[in-house]
Amino acid sequence: MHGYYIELPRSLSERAPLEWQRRQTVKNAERFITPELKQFEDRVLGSRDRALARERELFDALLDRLVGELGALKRLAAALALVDVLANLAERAVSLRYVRPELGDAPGLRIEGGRHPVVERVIEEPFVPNDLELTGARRMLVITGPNMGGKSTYMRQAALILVLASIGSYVPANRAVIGPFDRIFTRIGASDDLAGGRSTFMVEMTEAAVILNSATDRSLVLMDEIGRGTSTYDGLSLAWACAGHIAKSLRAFTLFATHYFELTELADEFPSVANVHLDATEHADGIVFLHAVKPGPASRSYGLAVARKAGVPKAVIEAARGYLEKLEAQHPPHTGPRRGR
Amino acid sequence: MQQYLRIKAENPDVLLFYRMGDFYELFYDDARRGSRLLDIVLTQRGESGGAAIPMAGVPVEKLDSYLARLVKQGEPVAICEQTGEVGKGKGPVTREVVRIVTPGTVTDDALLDAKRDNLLAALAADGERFGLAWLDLAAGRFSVLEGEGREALVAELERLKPAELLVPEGVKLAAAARVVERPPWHFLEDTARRALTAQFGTQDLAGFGCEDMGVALGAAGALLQYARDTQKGALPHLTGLAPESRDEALVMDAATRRNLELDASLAGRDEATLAGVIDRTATSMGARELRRWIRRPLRDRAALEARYDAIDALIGADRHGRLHEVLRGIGDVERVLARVALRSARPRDLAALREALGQLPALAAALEGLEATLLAAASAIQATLPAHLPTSRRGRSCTRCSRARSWPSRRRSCATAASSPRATTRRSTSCAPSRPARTGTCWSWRSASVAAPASPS
Repeated sequence: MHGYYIELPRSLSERAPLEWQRRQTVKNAERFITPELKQFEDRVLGSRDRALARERELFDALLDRLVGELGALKRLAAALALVDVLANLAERAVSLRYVRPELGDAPGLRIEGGRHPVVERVIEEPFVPNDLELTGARRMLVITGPNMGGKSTYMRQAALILVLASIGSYVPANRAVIGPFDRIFTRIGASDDLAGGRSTFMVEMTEAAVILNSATDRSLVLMDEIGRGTSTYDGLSLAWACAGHIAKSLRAFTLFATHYFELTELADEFPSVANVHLDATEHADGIVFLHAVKPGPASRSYGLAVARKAGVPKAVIEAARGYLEKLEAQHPPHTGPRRGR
Repeated sequence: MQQYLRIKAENPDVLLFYRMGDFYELFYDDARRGSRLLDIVLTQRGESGGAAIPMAGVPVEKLDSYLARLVKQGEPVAICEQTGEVGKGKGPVTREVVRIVTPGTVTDDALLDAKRDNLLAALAADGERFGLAWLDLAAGRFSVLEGEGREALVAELERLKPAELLVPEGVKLAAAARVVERPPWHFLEDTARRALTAQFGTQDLAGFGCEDMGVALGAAGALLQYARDTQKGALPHLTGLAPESRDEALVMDAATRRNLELDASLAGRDEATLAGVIDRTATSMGARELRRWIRRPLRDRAALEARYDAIDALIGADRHGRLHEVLRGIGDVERVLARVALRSARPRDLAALREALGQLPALAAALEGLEATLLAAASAIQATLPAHLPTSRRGRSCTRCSRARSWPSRRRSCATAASSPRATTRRSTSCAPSRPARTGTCWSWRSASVAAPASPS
């Protein structure tokens, strides 16, 4: 039963006044209503409806008024977002020791003590800062050094510093002078496009094609281990041709990481190309990566040392060392493909 | 059932949530699909032509969570409400579809990611040239861009990551978004111009600087049409179109965006992205703005220097911490305003707006004396707000005892003046006896039906 009623225990129900109307009988009790109670009930229930309708009406009127002020309020929202972002970038600059970039007119990117904003936050050991210098006369750095030595981090940090500067943020470095740039290209990492059904090498070449077709002398290009996805000679020839095309025709600012030692000779051919390498030292019991960028090509390959560090059995390492010596006797290393061919 | 079949015929491609009392019901194929997608019981109701009618339903108060699941799966849903009064008039109560929820047109907070824009995009093409229009309906941000070539298109789609992409019928496109085919005439430039100028109440589109972006305008027109079809109402918060040019941005192709892990990590760890490291914003509006910046670095050196200047000023005066504290008291004004415009705002939305306005004096104080252009412009905003909005100190203090009140507080009045006879007249600015808080701040009109006291039997 809905609504209001008067309930009397059964023992008393016989004594209910005559004008009470019996409405319901439940265990041990009778329920009655009276005309007056019915009136009150209608008013109570009706007043709820009216109150809700009135509230709804007032709320709608409030919405109408606010819709009239949408323009000003939207500008307020935009200002709040802007202040929030700027205050956030200020806090980050202080907490993470970022500096204000200097935007220069001279083309290029000069970074002193640059750090990778993400890697420096996630690694446990101290991050080793590095310098970078790309200028109108020094447009391509061929980066050699051991795998895991930090080539990829070094290249990405250059791009991320450029991105941070270009969103208006301070940057993780001691000093950064940044010339005008139009685009950033990367050819980094090798992952099979499983969903698309393309091989690693196909993905790699597609990305390289985009760069070779569109980079300009104001672009920053990162190329990591191009040619790795195919056979040695194919790969080396392609890497050499790509680097040569970028250095000679596109003149894009390029960081070119490679494990082909032969590419370090590009610097002899093109004055705008320089060699840098990431350092490592070898101990009796393995290899230590120093993550510091030094001028010039890496002095040697650390492939075998890395393999040993990774836990490849000693017998295999020794066999590889013997094989390597034989190869190096046949083809003196670091000579590269003959030019003009 | 006739009423249902008529409404269903008008909305053939979406799941129709048909309001019946305390439930939204799905029938026939919708019921089968719904029960599979939502893992709800498939039952039967009555029969038609000798066969039972399959039915599945969700309770009204659980609608949001079920909608969220469908939207995540890219399923559009039409919400059909009872719009007449129950018990009045003959035959079934009148019902109509009040809105269609699609992945790109969501505006409920429960269905949105606070830190990411939720975009509806439309694509038109003319030979090699393409036009893109995109709309964040939950913010009222409406933009267009034109470009050339497939690679540029892929790069822009990777940047915007729309939740839903409209294309002219017959166009095949592999995209991560839900692709919706729309009639080709929706994308015609002339129709679009008329629809857009009517929407913005302007003579032409010259004032927005996109007069000569014909292909993109076609896309914008199709997008506006779709937004109207789904919202079933006016869109007063769409007041303009912002053209973007690829030349103004530091362009990155799709692979570069992914490789640099700007705001999405290849390994799925969001804290190991650039956004993860530099986002400590106080509001979700700020978080979204920062992500828009990260996704579109600029080449305009004056704009960048202005940002550096502002950061420099904040660090110099050591104000960023104070600003962060003030901003933390501010809700998602942008999305609240969109819901106000779409008339789906709830009381708690307006409460959030009130709190935000109440913070403005403190915000202005924290910005005081800073001369960087961007900051000065921001702190001048308060002065441009209409006077009757409660932004002043007066609006935040008791009119009788002038004591400043601190929001957010459950108490609406000062204890010292609690017995004020004026109490009930101006609750928002004067000392009223504190009244019991409403049960929950989320209090929807629809569910506020009258519940008469019921007997225990």
